[in-house]
Amino acid sequence: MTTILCPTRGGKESHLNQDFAVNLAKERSADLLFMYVSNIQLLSRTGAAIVVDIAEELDELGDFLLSMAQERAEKSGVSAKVAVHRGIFSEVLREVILDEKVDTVVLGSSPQESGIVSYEHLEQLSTKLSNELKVEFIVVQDGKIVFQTGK
Amino acid sequence: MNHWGTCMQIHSRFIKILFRIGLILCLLVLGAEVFAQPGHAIQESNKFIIAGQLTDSLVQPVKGAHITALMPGDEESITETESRSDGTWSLELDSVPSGRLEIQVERPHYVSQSVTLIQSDLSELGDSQIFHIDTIEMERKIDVSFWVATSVFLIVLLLIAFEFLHSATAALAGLSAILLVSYIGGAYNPGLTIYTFEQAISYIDWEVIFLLIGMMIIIAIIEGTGVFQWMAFQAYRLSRGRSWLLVLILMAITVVASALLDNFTTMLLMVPISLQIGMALGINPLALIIPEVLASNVGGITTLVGTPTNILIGAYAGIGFNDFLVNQTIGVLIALLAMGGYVLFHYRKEFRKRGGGISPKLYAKLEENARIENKGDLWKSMIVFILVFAGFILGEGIHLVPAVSAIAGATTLLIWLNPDIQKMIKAVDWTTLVFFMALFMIVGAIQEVGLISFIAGWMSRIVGENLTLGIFLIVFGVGTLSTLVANIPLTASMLPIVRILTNTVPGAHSHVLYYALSMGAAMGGNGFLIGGEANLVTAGITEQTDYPISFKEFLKVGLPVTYITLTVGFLWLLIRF
Repeated sequence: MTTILCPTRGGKESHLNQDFAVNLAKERSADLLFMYVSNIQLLSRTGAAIVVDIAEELDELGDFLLSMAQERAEKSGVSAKVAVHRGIFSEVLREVILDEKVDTVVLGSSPQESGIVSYEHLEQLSTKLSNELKVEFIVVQDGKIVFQTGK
Repeated sequence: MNHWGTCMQIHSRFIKILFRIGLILCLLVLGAEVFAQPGHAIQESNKFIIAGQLTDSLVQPVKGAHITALMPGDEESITETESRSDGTWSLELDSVPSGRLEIQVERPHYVSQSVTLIQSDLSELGDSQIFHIDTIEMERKIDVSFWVATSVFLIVLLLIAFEFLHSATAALAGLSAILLVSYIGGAYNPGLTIYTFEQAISYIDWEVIFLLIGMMIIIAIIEGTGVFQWMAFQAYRLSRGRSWLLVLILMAITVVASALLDNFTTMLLMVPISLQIGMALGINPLALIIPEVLASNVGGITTLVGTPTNILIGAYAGIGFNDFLVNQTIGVLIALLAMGGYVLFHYRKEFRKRGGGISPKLYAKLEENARIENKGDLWKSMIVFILVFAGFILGEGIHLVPAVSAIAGATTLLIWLNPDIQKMIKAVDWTTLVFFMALFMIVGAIQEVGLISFIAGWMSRIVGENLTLGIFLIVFGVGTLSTLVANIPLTASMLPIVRILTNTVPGAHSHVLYYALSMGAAMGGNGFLIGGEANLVTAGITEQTDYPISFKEFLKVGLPVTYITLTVGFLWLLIRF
């Protein structure tokens, strides 16, 4: 049984990419794992008082987003697992690939320039981790493959 | 026996009460005697007093000037003193000198002055034991210390604005530079002395520091109960999918939250749950979140404790909690209504969307994420919170400063709820407090060398006697600057300028210019994404999802809202004052 990992941030833009991962899991009869990674380094930039446990708030946010993704998968007849993590995305991704023995990673790329992670960055990350961990990486935009490596 | 025993008990209590009343009366009489002593001493004194007052060119008192009396030609003084905070001074002489007497006035960063008393003046002193000299106007002197302090101040502002250094590090670096120049440079060239360490510390407003400490502890405890997330979920439930109604309710909750807590904390609490609600509704969550952050920046100024800028203004100008409520709240609420109208117009297409709702499972998860964590703690902290606010409102009658109410409230919660004290002490943001203290001292440095007086003098000449122009300049000038510059250093720098204008512009004694400063500093924060800490943290959290707030997206809503609210605020101040 192979495992497909789909990191997601849960917005409308992610839906087509989530659907791609769901269909791929169905096609390959693979396990599907949706993952959300929060990074609270954003707060290190500010000088204001931080009295809120923002990491926990983001965990709950991630849990909600992944539940939405899980429901989309269930509607397509795929049972997906979910995992919320904290930290730097590339580092967490490497750890999860190793821990969960992931075979394929589906990364979503934003079609808009305002996207948080650029396509170039995703391509570089995919190439690097694919070579290092011998895992297939598929970068998807609007539900279509725009980059694939390690197949 | 029992009856006799009861009588004895009553008698004993009566004696005790009488004894206590007697003791209190004795203490009152003794206290009155003690406080009466100085006046009594002055009456019996055989000293001869020469008194006067020092002001600068803007008729502001000059404190800390060294005043000496000496005989013409002599180098050794007969007597000396220092001017007080209101600029007054008095020299005491044991006898009236004959001939002439020279009074010399010296203060760093001012041109030294001298006044000569002639025989007729000294005769008057001998007859009435006191002689008043006309107010002496001290002229500012631009020396090398002026340029050093001004340069350091500007560099600190730039370091903060462009985030080259953390704001607290930048302020500490600036303060260190000023003190090192004062001490090391001043040892070789007295013109480099800006101020002493003791003078620097005297510029720290401890009321602000303790009010912040108290409120930070209270906020940390209330935040942990999850009450604001619960309110946000109730808003979602009540709106029944009507996004336009939901955004208005969420804005109202944010206004209330930011009037009680600081804006930064409010947004940390509101953004994650609002993202979930927006996605659940099937709309772009930014249509909820951007209006929230805009409302938070403006809503904070309805109360004294809603924003650090109001805390600064209140402590500096002696404006109380009630004054803010009476003079500012209605204006801010009208500005918020105007903001609400614009937001509904701007996001009209988004609010017309009607999502299909969410599954019972997701609804339950949303409800779970917005649950109240500990109802017992919530009730206790609410009781203390209400008492603290009662202290803010009622305490003014007995000159109870808000910092005392806040510290007492925080201590009560620490005793009553017994939370982990280490966690609570960590909840106090010492970085911010250090930033405030260093900032106070840096602004003190530019006050010492006269930069503030020059800016205030320049503004005074523009404003003249036109109060309306003064309000306009401060509301829109500070509002525009605040879109780019962090509003805390801006407000701290503007306070001495506003104080001078308040004393010089006719009609400004009502503190209207301070309210103008409060509105300008807060409302201007909505102009650009970089205009406030709350904006930046909101953007940071939204980056954790597929809905990042871009600079352009924020600008499209924020800039019009800034000038709409500034205009409403300006008009309100004209009507109110």
